[in-house]
Amino acid sequence: MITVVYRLIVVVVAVLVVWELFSQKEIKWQANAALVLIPLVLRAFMLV
Amino acid sequence: MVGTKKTALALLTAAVAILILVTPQFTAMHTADTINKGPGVTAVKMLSDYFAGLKNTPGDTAVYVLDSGKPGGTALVVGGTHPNEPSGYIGAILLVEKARPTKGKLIVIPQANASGFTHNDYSEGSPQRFALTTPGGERWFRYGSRATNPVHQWPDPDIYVHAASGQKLSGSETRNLNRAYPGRPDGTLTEQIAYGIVELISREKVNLAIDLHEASPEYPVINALVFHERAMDVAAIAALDLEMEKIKIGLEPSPKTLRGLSHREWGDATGAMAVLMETANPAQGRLRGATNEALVLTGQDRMYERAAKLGRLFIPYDKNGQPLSLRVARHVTATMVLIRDSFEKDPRQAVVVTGVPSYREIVTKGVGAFL
Amino acid sequence: MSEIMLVVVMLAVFLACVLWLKLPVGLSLAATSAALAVAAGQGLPLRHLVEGMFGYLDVSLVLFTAMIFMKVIERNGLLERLTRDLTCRFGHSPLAMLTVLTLIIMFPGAITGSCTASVLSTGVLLAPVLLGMDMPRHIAGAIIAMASVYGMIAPPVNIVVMIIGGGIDMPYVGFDLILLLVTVPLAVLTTIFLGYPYARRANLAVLVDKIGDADTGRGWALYLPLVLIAVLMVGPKALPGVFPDPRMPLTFVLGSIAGLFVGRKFSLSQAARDGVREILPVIGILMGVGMLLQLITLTGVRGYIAVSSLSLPAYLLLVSIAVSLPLFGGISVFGAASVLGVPFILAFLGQNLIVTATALSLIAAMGSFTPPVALTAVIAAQVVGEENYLRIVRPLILPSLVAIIIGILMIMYANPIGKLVL
Repeated sequence: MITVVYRLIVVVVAVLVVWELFSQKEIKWQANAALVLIPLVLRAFMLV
Repeated sequence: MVGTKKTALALLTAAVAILILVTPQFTAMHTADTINKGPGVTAVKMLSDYFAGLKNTPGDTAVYVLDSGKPGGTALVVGGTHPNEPSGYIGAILLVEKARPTKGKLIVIPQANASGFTHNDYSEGSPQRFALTTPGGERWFRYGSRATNPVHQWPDPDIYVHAASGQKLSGSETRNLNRAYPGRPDGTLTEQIAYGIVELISREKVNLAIDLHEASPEYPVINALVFHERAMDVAAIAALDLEMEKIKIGLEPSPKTLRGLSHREWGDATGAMAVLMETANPAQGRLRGATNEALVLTGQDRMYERAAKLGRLFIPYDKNGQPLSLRVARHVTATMVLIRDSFEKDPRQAVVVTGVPSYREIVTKGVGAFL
Repeated sequence: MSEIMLVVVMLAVFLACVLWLKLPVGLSLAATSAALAVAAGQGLPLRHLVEGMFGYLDVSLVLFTAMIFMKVIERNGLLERLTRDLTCRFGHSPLAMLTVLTLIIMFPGAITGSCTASVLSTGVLLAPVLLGMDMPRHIAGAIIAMASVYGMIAPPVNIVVMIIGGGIDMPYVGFDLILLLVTVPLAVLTTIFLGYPYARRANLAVLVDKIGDADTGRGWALYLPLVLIAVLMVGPKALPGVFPDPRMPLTFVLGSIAGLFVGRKFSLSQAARDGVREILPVIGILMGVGMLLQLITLTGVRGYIAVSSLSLPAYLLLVSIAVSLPLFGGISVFGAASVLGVPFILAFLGQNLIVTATALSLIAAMGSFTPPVALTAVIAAQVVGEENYLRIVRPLILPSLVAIIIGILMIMYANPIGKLVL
């Protein structure tokens, strides 16, 4: 049960990060967001 | 540099590309190792046969029964409690594939924490697998993690409270099978695995239960045998017998204050004599140099040589290192000696095991020769 | 390439990324990790780079959700209200004010074992009070950073000690009193040392007036999210096994949701977006640290650092602890506890290990301010709106040195101290 809730939290955070990736005005901060996205997606799908 | 929607899209694509490239490497760890049924194996059960709650979970694991068909005692050998301690599970696999009991029953769980085999410890840089050269060619085995995969048990609490005692440990220990005993049927996956193993010990009326581990060379309890108080006599005799074969092994009583470990809880919760053994694995130590498959196999490491010269290690260590074959040889030989000695007092309860290569054979030919 | 050359490559690439290319620290650490792998002849080990990030995934979720919660209480008026109430209650005495502030800042760190929890929860709450005393931003940030770090090692939960203890199978039992004695006095004294000159002069009555006209009303309902968070944080620790443990991220999510129903109306999605935007640079750093930790382990640099730290002659061992433990904290405090703390405590097996582990955790904790990562200082800078985190680190040098010296003395006299206290 708690795992499902936490996956949901990860999904919401990942969506917010993607949103941020598209609203950043500098490439380096876009890249920073893209980097952070990688582990979030892997955990959301429970691959790692 | 100015970021636009286009650059954002490009970076998102790059992230997705990395995900596509890297995912198969992680998921490959879920493919089980091949373990062959040896001539002594009479039944292959699952841990869920002893605790149904584990059925169809990543915690279920194979239990090999080697029954001589003749009355006698029952011995249990557990490997892979910590899947980053390969001499334990390779030793157990060797027993599955080679041992032939002629009296009593031998039960082997080679991969006690099956979930731990499906990933690696973060920030440890471990290899995912290693190859042994066998008569049938190269054979691969996974090198896993000390703990249950977070994919199967997540999130960790801030603090792990051992259910039976209230003892507190750092949160990630929640996934450490050897802190979870005696386990709980309604607990975490790790606690359920622990519960299943304790159920097995009780139901099979195991007389002697051996847990095979490794530790880093700078850890004080190393090349050692940790015994529950009821196993004291057996442990002492076995240590003397091993000494005669020029295998030095330290004796450590199981501390009453340290809870959740097999040598404490198996002994307290069941009628078995509980013993845990450690060999020295440089690939899991904190002082090791480059971490790779070669280190797992040869146990040779320059940093450990330096640490040995500094007097920081609890084992003799030189350029020959601590090869996996040597560590497996120690475990297998000590296991055989323990099984023999434990039933000396009551021959009706004896377990006699044949077919297992000797210490010298494993060291000189390499463990792969017997797999 | 030898380990020492790898260290040189590592430092050169990192400095080039940060100083020359002006990349964010997180990306710089990622680039450093990749360069390290290439220099060590490993190619580009994608799996290791990605796997390393997971070492900090759980902490990242705490930071993400905590930051969103902070934005929520900033917008619904709770933050102003708390500032006003505290100032009214303790404003009559600067010493009492500073002491209470310190203890409040320490609290979340003490029960979670994470100093980021402190900086981001009570640190954020109390920053306006400190700034209201006419304190410069960097001093307010320094006070928050140091109190949070003491909170991290204060009882009941000290993860640094747990990591060190885990390495030698020492149960986390019997630490409460000594940790309390080490942390609370030092934390309060540091705050007074840094803040008293300002607090003394500040006209707290004016401060009360200035922030007293918030439109948040007088009802206690506004405190509901805070009470909920406190209950969810303390409950599982006070009644383990009875009280369900939501863990920190869910605690903050529930607190944020509760914040929607009290005080001023605001847009939750906007608050969440702003929270994520502000914390992303820090999360990037954590991901970079995770990669670097994995890569220095893979390439043998970690072992080289650990063995070299132990290579010093016996009389220099204490010096080595005083220097290498806080320095390694510049990458990760918990990493330092695991990589160096465990071998160090093994060197003192004969003496009182509870005192020794406590001392090591005190020394390691001071690594929270060590560049390049200086995570606590970086987040504290964000909280008080200070652009250059190094300005926060500077006033903390002296208090950190004092803490390190006290830690070393504790190791030297571990047995007598143990007899006295335990």
